[in-house]
Amino acid sequence: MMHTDIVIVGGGIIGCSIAYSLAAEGADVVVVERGDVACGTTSAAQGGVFSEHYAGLSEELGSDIEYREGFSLLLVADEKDLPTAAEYAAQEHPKGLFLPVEKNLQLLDPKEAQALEPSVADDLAGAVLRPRFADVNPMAVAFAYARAAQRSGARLLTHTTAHRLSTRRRKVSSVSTDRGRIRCQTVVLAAGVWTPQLSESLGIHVPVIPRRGQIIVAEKGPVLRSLRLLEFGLYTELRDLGTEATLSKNEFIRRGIAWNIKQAQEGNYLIGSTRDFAGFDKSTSPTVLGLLAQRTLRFLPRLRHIDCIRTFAGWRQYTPDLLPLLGRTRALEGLLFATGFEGGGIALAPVVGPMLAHLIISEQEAPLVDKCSIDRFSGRTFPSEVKQ
Amino acid sequence: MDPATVVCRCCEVTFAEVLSAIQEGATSIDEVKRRTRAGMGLCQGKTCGPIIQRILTSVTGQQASPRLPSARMPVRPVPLDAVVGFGKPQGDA
Repeated sequence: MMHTDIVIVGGGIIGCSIAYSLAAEGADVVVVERGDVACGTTSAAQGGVFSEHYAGLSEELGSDIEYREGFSLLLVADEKDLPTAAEYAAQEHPKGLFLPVEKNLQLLDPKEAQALEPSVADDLAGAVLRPRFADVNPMAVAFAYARAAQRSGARLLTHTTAHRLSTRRRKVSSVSTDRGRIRCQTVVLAAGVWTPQLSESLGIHVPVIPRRGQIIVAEKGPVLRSLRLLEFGLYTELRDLGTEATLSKNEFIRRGIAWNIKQAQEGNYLIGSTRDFAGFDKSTSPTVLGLLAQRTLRFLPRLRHIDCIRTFAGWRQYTPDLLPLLGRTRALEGLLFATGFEGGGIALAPVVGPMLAHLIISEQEAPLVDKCSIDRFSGRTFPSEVKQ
Repeated sequence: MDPATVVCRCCEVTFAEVLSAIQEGATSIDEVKRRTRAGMGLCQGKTCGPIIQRILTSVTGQQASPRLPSARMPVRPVPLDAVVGFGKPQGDA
């Protein structure tokens, strides 16, 4: 039987970030991960982040996380969308809880867009320039956090499955794993889409369901200057419509597609993005992939002969209100959640780590985090769950 | 094997890097892949996969893992302009 202060269940980017922050403060931490670090959703993520949170992190953690700063372009295919694009470019856009506000966007005409990104098609209507964008390799970030956490004394138990949490007098007391029991004061559930399974044993219902994302990997090809190219007007809408997306008038949103492309540091392209609800199905769908390829060639005709070398899928953690599950619950003392980021997990990892560590160590209230408590769902059911 | 030997030719991952990944806790081809990028290139691990498995077996003593890397389409590289046709019904009138 092992003893520790804090058990973190889940060795993805979130769990490892929390472990790092806690260990850096001298807390005794054990991370329990049923596979290897980053083998879950972290390994299926694209890696868009904010420089406010990620600049300097490679140096701090002592590992290369393939951090890059640059710009991104929202490509406008159709003239009729130009007024909307102009309006969008003129505004500031809050990116979500705990995230920066996006500003200083610029509407570009087709020639300006092509000057910035020579590979784009000649027949665009225009583009919106996002002058600040940043990107990382999500797996590299998780490994960097794990290594740094271990250097500060955190214990990492990989290939170890947490089965059940036990309680004593309404307080967390231990985690049972397939390699034995771990006595602890505090448990953080950062197990992504597997968090609901773990909470069953406590009778706490966790309203997280998998929202599948598919990616095409293509071989190295012409250098893109942008860190990201996206089709204007789709990404946020698709994400925010949730289970209602299938009812959209827009043919792409209806099929769960919001085209974008990232060229990784070493040159491969990662083409996404898709969102659909398929339970724990991780297969890739030929129809969806066909549409992604079609949009790629519409915007980047030069890539016609570039080979697709792999496709894969992963599961974002979808909550009914698109807010994460963070922090404590009235249901059980010593239990905290850190999941439900629905595509924002990579960007939020450097924020969530210190936030949860502070919550645990200082035991202070944190109003923004309280907003994300799982208690907000007490006694409610949601269409997305019923549909499943 | 000389540590500088290239094990994954597509991504230029060396024997030393593979060993380092195993020392850090990788126990399968997929786990070595996530840590080193070996197998993420053009041949998708067709060349380096068996080599990495042999290295794993010789270092950890574990026999070939029952956890084979997941198979995903396409089986062979397909140009994007052919992927466009993936979703279309066969023999469309």
